[in-house]
Amino acid sequence: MSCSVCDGNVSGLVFCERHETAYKNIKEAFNNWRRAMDIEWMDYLKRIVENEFTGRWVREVAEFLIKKGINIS
Amino acid sequence: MSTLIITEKPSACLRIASALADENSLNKFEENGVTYYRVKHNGEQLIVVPALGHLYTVTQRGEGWVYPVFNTTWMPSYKVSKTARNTKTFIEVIRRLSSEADVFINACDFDLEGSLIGYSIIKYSCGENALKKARRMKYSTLTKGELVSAFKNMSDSLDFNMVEAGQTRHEVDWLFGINLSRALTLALKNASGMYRVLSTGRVQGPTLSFLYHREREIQSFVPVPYWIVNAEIEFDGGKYQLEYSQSRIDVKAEAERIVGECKGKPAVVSDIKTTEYRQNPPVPFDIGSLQVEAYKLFGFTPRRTLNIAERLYLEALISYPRTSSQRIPESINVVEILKGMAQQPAYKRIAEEILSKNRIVPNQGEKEDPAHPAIHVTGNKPERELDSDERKLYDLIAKRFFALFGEPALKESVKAEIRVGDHLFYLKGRQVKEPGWLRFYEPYFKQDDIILPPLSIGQSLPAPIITLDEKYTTPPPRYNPSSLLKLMEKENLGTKATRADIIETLVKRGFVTSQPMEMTDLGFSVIEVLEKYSPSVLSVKLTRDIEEDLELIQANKKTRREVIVESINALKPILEEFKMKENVIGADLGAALKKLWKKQNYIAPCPNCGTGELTVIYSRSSHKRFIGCSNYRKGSCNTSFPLPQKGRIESTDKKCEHCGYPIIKVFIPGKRPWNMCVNWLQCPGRVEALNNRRKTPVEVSK
Repeated sequence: MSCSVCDGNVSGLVFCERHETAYKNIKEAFNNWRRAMDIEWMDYLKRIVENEFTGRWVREVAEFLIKKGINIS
Repeated sequence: MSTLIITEKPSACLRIASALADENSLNKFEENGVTYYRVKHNGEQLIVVPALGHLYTVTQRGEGWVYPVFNTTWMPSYKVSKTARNTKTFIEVIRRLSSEADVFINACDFDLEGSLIGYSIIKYSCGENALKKARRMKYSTLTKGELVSAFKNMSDSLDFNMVEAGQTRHEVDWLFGINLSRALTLALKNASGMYRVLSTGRVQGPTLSFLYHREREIQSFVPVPYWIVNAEIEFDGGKYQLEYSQSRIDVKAEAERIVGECKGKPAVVSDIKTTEYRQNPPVPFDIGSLQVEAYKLFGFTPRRTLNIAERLYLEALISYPRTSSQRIPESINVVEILKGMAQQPAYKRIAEEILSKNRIVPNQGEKEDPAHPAIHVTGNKPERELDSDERKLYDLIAKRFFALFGEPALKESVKAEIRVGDHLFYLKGRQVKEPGWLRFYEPYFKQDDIILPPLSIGQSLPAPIITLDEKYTTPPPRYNPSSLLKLMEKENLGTKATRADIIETLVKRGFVTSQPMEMTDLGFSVIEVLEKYSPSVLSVKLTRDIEEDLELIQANKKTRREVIVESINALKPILEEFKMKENVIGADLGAALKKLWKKQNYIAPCPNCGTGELTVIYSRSSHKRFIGCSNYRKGSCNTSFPLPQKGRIESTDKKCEHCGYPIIKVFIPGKRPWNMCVNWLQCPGRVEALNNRRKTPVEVSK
């Protein structure tokens, strides 16, 4: 099975090792964002996709989550 | 009979011959393009002949591009590498001249490489017997005084411990480099049919690994917002920025509350602290700190700085640059150097000011190098007009040398506490009270003074304008050639002589882009393969252990044979595993290489059809390259643009300001990279460029 974002080998449930790390970071950082301001998951994803400091793998995962409408688990 | 003096390079040869020649005794000879000199020194006949760096190199015993290979031998470089073809005549000339000599002197640079260059030439070109009659000249500058003294005080034999350490370094690097690089390259070739030289080594691997881990942090980074409370206050005819006592606020609501509570409130000075402190002069340059400073000030890569410094050294303008010392020993006559510098109009005033001081003692650093002092000017005047880069670096080294003799600078910082309602802000000022050494180091030291008007405790100030800025945390910065070099130094990776080359190799191999140093898919893949199958070659420990072994060899506490056997024993299991898993490794590398090729050739979306991609294409018939649209094969778009045939092309995100077509960047070795419109034949900007008498494709911006 290949990664949902790239063609790499799956290491977790749906992502390769790089995108899995990015996904983990997205989930962790959401706690910090929520502490910082009143924000919903999808708005948060949109904000990080637009942010210039967001890493490439994080942006790719965030775009995938938005496209698929996947909520935090 | 004569004495044969072996020098490292043709330019050093002339310097040494001229320095040792009695009056009117310098005679120049040329044989098959090799210039050498016959001179008399105190009546003794000397032949001074140049090498061209290493004339002999380590190579494989036997044939075949295979691995593992553990049998090595030393051979003339021209038999091993096509690029060393021009060394053949040097060997022939030295061999012939050696028959006239009964004493042999190694006068190459005093370091491991110089010791090895001279040793192998004497051993293989002049014969084993010559080694018994060989001596070593040791010097740090190519000035007449030091060369004459080095000749007079030379050692009775070669520095065999340094030679052995040098040989071991070359052999160990060869064993790791050749075996692992062949393992990677052959895995790629055998598994995917693709050919590309992939390389790694005991220094290259850990260095690439640093870049890899940094890139992972950057690519998996999620920014988090925070807020900064800004305040600007206007009084006494000036505008001043206040800093809020909490440098960042992590919760938006809290930040907004602070702003609300401060708005419209008057400000009162509650405390003033003035601190005076002295800043000592800098320490002398070693090669690493010179490379870092030159990158910061001029944007020179470490390799470029080293090349320029070597040219200045060969012109006897500065001391030997490949040094890790930050000390100017007492044996160096700094007064004479300053007197020499005072002969140059640009430095006359500073040099004379230092010479007029009662105490002329340079500030010293901590790092030492037993072979050479810190980099310093020699006091010699340039004999030709230096080019722009040489002038810049020479001036930097000269000013740094002067700064060592300056007094500490006296600086003052003022921190006023300002209360706005219940909140605390700081107003900060700073100024240089006595410049001391800073004057000697101009223009390379800059501090913008912030001078505050007179303030007193209890003083009321107008209400400041309060604003809130939303900011985001940022990923760690990418390494640049300078910060990577610093890290390599800190981790004791490579040597002062090799670090710059290793960094350039990583770019040349396509593992990282040049600026910024961003990891490519191929670089990722190589590290991931090595992490999986031979993590030890990525570890800093392995290369550090070998560096320690080399020091033990120099101290005669370990032998070359012991270190080589240990290296082979470390390599054997790694290479066996590589062989076994060649198919998997090769497939991974192949996939990464395909991505890299695609990325390297991609320019931009096609501006004409809108659906295709502009890529660099190589014509099958003419082998020339051009830019074409990917829809050409479908027959729907025939957009194409000519390209310069030399140099590397990179896409950019920019569009031409004249015609809107994509801008590419062209890199030609030895030239400054330039931006070019792909549509340069039709671009209206080109007309402008032609009017400006430019013959090359339109340069959009530097």
